[in-house]
Amino acid sequence: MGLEMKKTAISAVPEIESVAETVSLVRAEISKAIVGQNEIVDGVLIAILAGGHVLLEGVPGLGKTMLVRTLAQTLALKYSRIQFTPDLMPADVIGTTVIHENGDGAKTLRFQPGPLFSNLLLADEINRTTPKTQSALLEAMQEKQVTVGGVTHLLDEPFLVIATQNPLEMEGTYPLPEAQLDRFLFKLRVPFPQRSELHDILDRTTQKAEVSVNAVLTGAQIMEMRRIVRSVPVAPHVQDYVVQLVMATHPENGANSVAAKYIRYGSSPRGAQTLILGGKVRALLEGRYNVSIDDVRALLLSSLRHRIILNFEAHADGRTPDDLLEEIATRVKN
Amino acid sequence: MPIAHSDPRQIGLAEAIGEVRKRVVANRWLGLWVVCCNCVIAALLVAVALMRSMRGPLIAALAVVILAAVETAIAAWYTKPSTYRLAQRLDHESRSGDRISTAVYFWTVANPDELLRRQRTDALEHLANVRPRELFPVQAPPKMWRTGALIAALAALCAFHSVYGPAIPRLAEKAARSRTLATVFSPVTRAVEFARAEKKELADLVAGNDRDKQASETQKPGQLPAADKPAGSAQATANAAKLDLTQAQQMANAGMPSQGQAPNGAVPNQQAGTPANSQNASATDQQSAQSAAGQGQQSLGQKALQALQNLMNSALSGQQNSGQSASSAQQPPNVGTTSMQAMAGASQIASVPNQAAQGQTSNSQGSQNQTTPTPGKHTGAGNGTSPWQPRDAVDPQLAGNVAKQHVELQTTGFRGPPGKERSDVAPGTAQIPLQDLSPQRVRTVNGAGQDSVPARYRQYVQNYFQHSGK
Repeated sequence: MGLEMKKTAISAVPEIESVAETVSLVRAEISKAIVGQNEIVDGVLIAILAGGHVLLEGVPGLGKTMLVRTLAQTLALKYSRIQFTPDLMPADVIGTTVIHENGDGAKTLRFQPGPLFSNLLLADEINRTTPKTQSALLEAMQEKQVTVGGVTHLLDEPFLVIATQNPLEMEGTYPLPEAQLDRFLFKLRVPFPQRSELHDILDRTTQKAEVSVNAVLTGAQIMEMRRIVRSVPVAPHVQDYVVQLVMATHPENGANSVAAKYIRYGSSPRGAQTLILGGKVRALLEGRYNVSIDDVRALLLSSLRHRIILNFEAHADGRTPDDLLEEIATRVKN
Repeated sequence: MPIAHSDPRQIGLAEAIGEVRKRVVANRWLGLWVVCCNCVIAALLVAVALMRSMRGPLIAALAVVILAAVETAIAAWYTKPSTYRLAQRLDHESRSGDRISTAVYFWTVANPDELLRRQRTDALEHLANVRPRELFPVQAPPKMWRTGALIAALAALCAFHSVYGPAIPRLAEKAARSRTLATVFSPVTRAVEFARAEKKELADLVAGNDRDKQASETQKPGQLPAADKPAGSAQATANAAKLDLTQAQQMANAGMPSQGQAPNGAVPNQQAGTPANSQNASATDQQSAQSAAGQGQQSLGQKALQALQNLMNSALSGQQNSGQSASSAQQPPNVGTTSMQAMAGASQIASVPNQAAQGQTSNSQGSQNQTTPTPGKHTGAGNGTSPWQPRDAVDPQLAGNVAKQHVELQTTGFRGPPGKERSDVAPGTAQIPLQDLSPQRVRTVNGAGQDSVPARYRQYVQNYFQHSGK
């Protein structure tokens, strides 16, 4: 096992230096279509290289869907989109078994893959469908496989789900269950563009010239970069800092008074994994070969904001997961 | 975690960490030593302030300081941070993004992969731009001003000692002779003495009244017992005497003129219509009033005390003539010939001299009316049959200085053994004030009660139904 990993790492040596360059190329291509939103673009790219899924939250019209479509064009991945509605069924997502008639007239049951079988899946307004359909994504997101009729179908790698949801218009929606939320590596909040960015958006979208985006990264390269990312060393004190952060979100420990007062349930171990993996990618993108505490702090909110459950006191006092996590981070010593 | 020097690239890292270690240890030693020095200087301050000779404490302090320097140096060296910890501090100070500490931690890994080798190279390249001497200067510990203040105090104390000797004995002598302290404490002392004098004077006054009362009782052996007295004047006279005694004392305490005193210092309480059984009292009043008029410069307190004596005498004379006044207590109220009139007249307000002269003031009339007792001001004692009622209405000007003379005691209550106090309430007759237990009106008609719901709960319910939890 160790020898295999070492061989993998050595074979990936030529691409180590090119990771940051490739990612910067992707950024440049995305910036042709998307104005601003650099943090969102970086977060999505980090999630892709870390092998996770992203939940984008923002009001309509901020370019969430366009970002995902542009990303799919840039990465040269198989892209599919599902508009989640209340009457959407799991079979509409996963696929179903249909009767297929052969040339000789024999009829057989054959699995017809759904839109889930792609590399990049845009689950638009995922909170508008029922929990039953939402849960159809659970196995695909975590195991990268789908089981239909007792038959397990593997998904193509890389597989990435980018879901969007609207924080407004909550009527008729179904908030994602905790298990579903935990499967997203990051929850990114799409902000409203700045004044200058809004000017650029108007210039680009109201003129005749259409933007064309080139594919600069393939799925195979993404998988190779994922392997490189996992080889980035993490010092013990950085890992200990991550563990302290995740433990500090749990109210039952009692070590952090903020968590004890406002948090009903703390982050899962997936939160710690996200911080480390995301930190590794971020370190490579920053031109470093080690994870630092700054990387962890930078990814803290997007990694843990959807993994903690607030209690009544927090809702009553108007506290948000972001400010609670910031407060917890200031109390954790590194 | 020692760093091997097999790789020449490690030398720079080891040197940098070593430099940081030296400076961290030096700073730590300085901090510990300064704390020890502070303690030594504080002890030396006390010694110099108390002892006559400075040589011994100074030599001992010097020795302790040197010894502390050696011991703190050893302690600082043995408690020095590890190489990894020093690398973390260097990372933190140089903002290296944990490059150096990661390199130090993974330095001992045999056969490192390419990423580790690149990481080491990256850390060393970054370390080349780091100046540990600038990041970790050997500097004085924080709060060094304490040591400076202690040294300054020690120098001042030594100078004082060399001139005047030990400071604390000297200061003690000076304090004993200081007028400032006496000035500070003199108001308190005077206040205490004044309070004691007042208390003693009051005790003497009460004791003198008791003696007079006992003497009057011994002078009247043929007096009827209280149960056999006719309903009326004797007991009422005593009550009136007590009442006026209280008034007089209140006035004396308040420093105000008594009711029988005219504002211009004349004799106001002379009564033309003094009844026969109160001639003694009225004569005494006239004498005291004349003497007061003759002196003219008596203090208000003395006048009040004089009125008190007069009232006591009149009360005693009333007791002596109780048999005679029994019949007069049955007379109609407009006659004005009872001892009650004398008592009331003795304490009448000077603003109605004509009425007092006639002995038919409205107050006295009301007080003598047996059929319709009116517990009016100053006249409640005149009612022979009505029970004694204390005067609740006290002159508000005197209320602040009233010393309560009559303490209501339960003279008929038998005090049983401890824990078994006698109760006058028969079983089942106690009445507990009940609250209004009728249903209260509630403002919950047609949703109007939402006003009483706290805002935070309303907000929570709104958030809950809007599914905005996530």
